[in-house]
Amino acid sequence: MTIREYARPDSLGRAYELLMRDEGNEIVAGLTMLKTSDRSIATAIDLSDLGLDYVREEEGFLKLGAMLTLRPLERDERCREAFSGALARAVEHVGGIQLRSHITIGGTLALRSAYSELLTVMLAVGAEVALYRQGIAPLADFLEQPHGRDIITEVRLPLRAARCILEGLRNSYLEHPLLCIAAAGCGKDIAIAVGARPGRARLAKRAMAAWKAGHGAREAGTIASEEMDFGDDLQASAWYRRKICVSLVAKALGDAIL
Amino acid sequence: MIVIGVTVNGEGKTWEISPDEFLSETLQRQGYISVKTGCSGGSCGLCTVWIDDRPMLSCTTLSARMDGKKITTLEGLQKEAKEIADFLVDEGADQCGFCSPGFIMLALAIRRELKSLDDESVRAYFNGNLCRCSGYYGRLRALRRYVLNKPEHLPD
Repeated sequence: MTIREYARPDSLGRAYELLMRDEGNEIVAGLTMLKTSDRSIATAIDLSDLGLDYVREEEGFLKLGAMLTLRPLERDERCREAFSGALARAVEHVGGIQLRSHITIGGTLALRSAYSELLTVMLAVGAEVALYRQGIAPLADFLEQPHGRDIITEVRLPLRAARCILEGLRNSYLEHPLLCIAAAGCGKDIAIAVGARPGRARLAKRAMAAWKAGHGAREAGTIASEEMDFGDDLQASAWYRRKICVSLVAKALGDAIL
Repeated sequence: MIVIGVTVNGEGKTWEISPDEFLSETLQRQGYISVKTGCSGGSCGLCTVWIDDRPMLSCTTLSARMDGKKITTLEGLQKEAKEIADFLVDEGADQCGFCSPGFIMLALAIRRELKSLDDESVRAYFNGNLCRCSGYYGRLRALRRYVLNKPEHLPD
């Protein structure tokens, strides 16, 4: 990665203006992924001065600023208590504490990471993404869109989903999960998100409908495994991921109704 | 080039840096040789320094972002570092020593941050510090003895 110029705008408007001025201009967040890329950035736009590293609880939402990093998130009492602790659990396997002090919420969203447990939890609880120009969009829609030229300002997590169960399987503590499942809600009204297939986290809508209609947890797990696409990587095959999806969804649903 | 003002180990400094320079490179160029680099990609923890008193990876921190910040390297914590180093040596955990600066910076940070220092929380805290000699158990023993011998270091 190379950077020709560095800018630290004092307003979102100025940051957006800089972003649109040149296609080579980029918003820089924690730099953990960008650093090892071969990108040539004309102007690196740093949002550090815009106060976007907040955690706020207002209007029934837990709002996380785009420049909030994972370490303060996992230490914040409101984040630890929300969704039965699923947010903090979703980041505890991401590198060491120093790395988690670099990785930002905005960067995680922008990357639409194929392995992110955090995005899987956010999707299950019905998160919305606030963009400077385009306004607020459901995370489910945002994750399916191509990367656009806009600025992520915050993610809003509706606090109505009091409980979220996060299930996953990994080969070792610091590795990406082979698969992760988040189930948020209660009773028959539960949202199921499947992440690390590998691929952007997605809602298992048919499985959710089956669960709501009274099908059992195992059956819902089977439906989820059939409606999702899975891939091979060094950690696991698509076949294996599909198999464990059944059990993990069933377990998540079982835990969610306890 | 960009000119930034920082405080390193209590001393005010003015640095001229390039926009894509990382803090580990700048610190090494300025003579802070305790700052090591291993993976240069945020995975090994060797380059750990404190930025505004928080342990961070200098290899992943743009120097340009440091304007107005307080940076602490091992050179600025010699007395505290020696106390821990004595325990590391006693437990045979010094080994090649290449990762020791990053480890000690984090060991000194842990007492400020964690309320309990049981083995599990210590292990989780040090997940991001790799040792190519794989001397993890010696370090854990050393850290446990250091904390037991220095209970005043535990947070309230």
